[in-house]
Amino acid sequence: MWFILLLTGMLSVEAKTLEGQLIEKGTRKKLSDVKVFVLPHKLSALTDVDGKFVINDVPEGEFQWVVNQSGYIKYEQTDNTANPISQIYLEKIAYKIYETTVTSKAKKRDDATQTLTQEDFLMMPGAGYDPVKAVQNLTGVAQTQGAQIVIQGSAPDDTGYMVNQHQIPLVFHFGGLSSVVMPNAVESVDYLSAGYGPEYGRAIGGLVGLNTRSPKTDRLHGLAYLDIFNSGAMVEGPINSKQSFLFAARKSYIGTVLAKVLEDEEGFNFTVAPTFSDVTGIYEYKINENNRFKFDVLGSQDEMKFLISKPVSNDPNLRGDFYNRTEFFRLIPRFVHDFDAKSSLDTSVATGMDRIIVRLNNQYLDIKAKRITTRAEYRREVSPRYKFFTGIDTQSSWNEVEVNLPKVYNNGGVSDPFSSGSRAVTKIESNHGLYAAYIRNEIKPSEESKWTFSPNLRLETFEKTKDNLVSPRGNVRYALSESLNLRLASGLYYQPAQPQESDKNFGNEDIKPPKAIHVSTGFSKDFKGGSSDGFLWNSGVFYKKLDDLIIPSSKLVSRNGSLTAENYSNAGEGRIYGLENQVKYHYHDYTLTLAYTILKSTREEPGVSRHSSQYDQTHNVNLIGAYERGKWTYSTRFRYVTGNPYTPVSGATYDADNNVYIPIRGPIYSTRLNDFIQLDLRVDRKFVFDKWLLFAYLDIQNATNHKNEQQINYSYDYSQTQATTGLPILPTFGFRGEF
Amino acid sequence: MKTLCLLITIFLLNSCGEDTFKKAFKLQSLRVLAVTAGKNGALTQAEFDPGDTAVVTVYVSDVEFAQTVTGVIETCSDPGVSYGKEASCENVADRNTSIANITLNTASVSGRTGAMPSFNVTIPNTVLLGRSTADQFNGVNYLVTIRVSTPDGQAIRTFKRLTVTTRTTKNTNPTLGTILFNGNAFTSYPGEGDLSLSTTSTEESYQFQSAGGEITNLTEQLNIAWYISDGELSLPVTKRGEVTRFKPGEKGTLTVVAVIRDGRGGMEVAVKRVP
Repeated sequence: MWFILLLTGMLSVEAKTLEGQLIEKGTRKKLSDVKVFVLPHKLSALTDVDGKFVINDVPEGEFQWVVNQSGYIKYEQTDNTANPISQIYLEKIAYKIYETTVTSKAKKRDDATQTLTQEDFLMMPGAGYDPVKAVQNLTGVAQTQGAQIVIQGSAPDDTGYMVNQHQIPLVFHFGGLSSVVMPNAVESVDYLSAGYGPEYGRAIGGLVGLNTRSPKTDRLHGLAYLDIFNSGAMVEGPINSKQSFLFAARKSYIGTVLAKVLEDEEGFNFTVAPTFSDVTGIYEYKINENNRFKFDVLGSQDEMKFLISKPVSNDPNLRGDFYNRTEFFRLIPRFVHDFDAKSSLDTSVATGMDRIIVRLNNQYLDIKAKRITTRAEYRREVSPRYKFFTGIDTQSSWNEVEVNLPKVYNNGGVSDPFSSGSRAVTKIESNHGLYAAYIRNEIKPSEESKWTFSPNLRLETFEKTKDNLVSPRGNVRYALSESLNLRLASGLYYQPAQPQESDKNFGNEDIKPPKAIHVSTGFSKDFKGGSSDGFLWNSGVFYKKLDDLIIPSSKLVSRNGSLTAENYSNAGEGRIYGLENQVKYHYHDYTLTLAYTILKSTREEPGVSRHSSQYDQTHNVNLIGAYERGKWTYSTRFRYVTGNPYTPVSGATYDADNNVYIPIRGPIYSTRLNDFIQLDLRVDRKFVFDKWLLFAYLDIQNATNHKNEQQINYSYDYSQTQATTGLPILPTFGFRGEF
Repeated sequence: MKTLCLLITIFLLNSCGEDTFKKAFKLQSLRVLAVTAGKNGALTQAEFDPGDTAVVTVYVSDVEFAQTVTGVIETCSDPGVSYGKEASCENVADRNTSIANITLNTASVSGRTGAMPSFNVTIPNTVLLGRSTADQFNGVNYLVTIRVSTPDGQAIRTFKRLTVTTRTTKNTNPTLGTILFNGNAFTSYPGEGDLSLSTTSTEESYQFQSAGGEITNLTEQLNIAWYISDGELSLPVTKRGEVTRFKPGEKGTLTVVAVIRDGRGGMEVAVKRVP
């Protein structure tokens, strides 16, 4: 009898097979090589590459899932074989700010380049998750309120901007709020300062370059965000096993916010609120092992229109409709061919158009420029001791410029009133070509040598000003130990004159390109000793000698047998030297970065003794800290920068023809604005759902509401002054969802 | 382009700034309001040929202090004011200091605002010599500098460009009628209302030659600058046909000045005193 009962019982407990998939909660990442347990039956299985698992012989009835994986919250869930769950979502103990961040290794060829990967700039506090704003936290970059990157005491116009190594006209939207490419589509941002290599040129200060990334190929990904200034979305994924795509778009409504803020501002009405928008499209085709094709589409537009119903204080005639639109697009096909493991050819072309319209009543500037830039580089590792890179870098443009504007004299940062300038009305159609070829060598005396020598050369032609230029450059690196590197870099750099400076109506047809000699030396020391915690210290000094700088000229010169205004001359020169220090410290969940630059930037011109330049920011301190705990991240940035020099106005002369006073400038850049002090605070919170993630943040800029002077304004006769201050305390918030 | 971005930013900052500056339209202490010039014998003509004589008149105001205003005059070729040179004849080779000083006792003129005695300036025959065709066509300036001062130490430096051109059709000074309140003539201190002009001339068309020789047809823009000795104005500068809103003050007397300018050196002045 007992035997019969036992047999009946055994027959009634049938074995089941459980199939499922283990997925990371929020990111939908498939987790492989993880053990999934079924208790109390002591059954288990290991997940495959797709996170899938199969567990056989599970007795019918209730059971418990258990997954205990390092880095994840232990998963325990009661289930029933009658209707078992098929997907298990495993939650991480700690999430980063952006889980969809692309992790890549910085690819840089020399020590004059600092590269921030997407992971770096998205995680950098105080940068608002923007790649170019993150660059503003690096050593040598001046504090500015506008849409500019000022490098190591140079002028804003001495900085070049690139996307995928091709020149773009601007890198920031209005007011520096955001860079012109969706940050999540950017793989890395390069910051090239004193002593940069031969691959680039036409910028005597330095360059900032954005590099777009390859679209993801594992599955479809999406992202959307919304904050008080703008919103955007991005989608990417595979088309098939060889092809993938990414598309991103953003649109701002900052103008609507500003218009509301300025609603009660007497005399100022936005008729078209300032807006910006941009799109980024990327298509990639991995043709085979040796050939890759990538196609980038970039477009950016900024637009605003407002009515100044009440004139500005020092120019009573300046009133009416102001309109500005700035837009550009680029199509950038790129083909990379690997001949073998040691040699490759990388070719790309960028075609596109730039358009700028500025209009104030019947005065206007309208620029249309079609552009083609090409780059091709052949790389070869001849031996373990010798590598070379040689290539071409060209820019061609076809420009149509229509202008009806006064030529306004501006010196020492003090501009004569707009109404006092002599009028220039013209339509210009011109073609410009900038052509360059370069070679970079990397030589080691022996395979084991601690020395690396890079004698480099760049040859350039500036077609418009008929200049053929030779720019020798080079750097030396010495690896004193595994954790300590010493470096030295130097080079000669040329930059074409701005279009208005070399134009026969507005400028000087005989103008020459300004040039600079850079020298920089320094070291980097890693104190971490292989651990993830500890210090990194990077320090260096730099020196730049600037010659043939283009400055405004009030001379009359003989040209084609007639006396005419010179407008600009090459009579300026400058010297800049400084010390940069960057210390990074990481300990568990804490990171701390100190970037400190001390520099002296001076200029000299005929009749004016050596003086500080506009961006002579003696001390520039950035202290950035972050603490991550679970789903929370707390970050802060503190900035202290010596106030910018400005030129005082000592008096004014009444221009009876134009009803304005023309300022009489005191000693050039002899006085300073107050020191810039700003504390920013930010809290980020992540919400993890099974199939997507939601981020929310609260950002408080200028938390102490420090009144930072930005510029000096004058009364109509320049007898009274008043400083315009920057942003007051500005709390903002936003949301972002990802899958 | 980067410079352009900077200019736009600066312009925005200027526009947005809430200032507490003294107002340009308020007549208080010493002010120079206009300097008119016309060809001797044809005063409506505001541009000149080499060798012409210009009749120049300086309009001043000293409402608060009613002092005698003295003007010291110098003339010379334009050293390049538009290109950054200081508007001064001091270091210019053809500096001329021979024109006699002018004076006006503002206490003796209605509203303590008015024209100083006119003086003649003879433009040298050589002004256009050596200049490019475009410069000669668009105009080369001969400069008249005036330093006006009062016994209490107030001083203003001002200048007027006499435009010398080869254009066959010379610019003419714009004209303006009387100052009206709410569209009517007025003789007593007004309440709140609109100030306007009974008539004005219309905008002239003219040609501009670029350095490459291309000719562009342009139309000048007329602006009227307003000045008052009491009260407030909504607009210190209006376009032709526009009005400016007047809010009365507390003084009980009012001087109103309107100066019409064409942006090419031509101008004319109207003064009204009530009661």
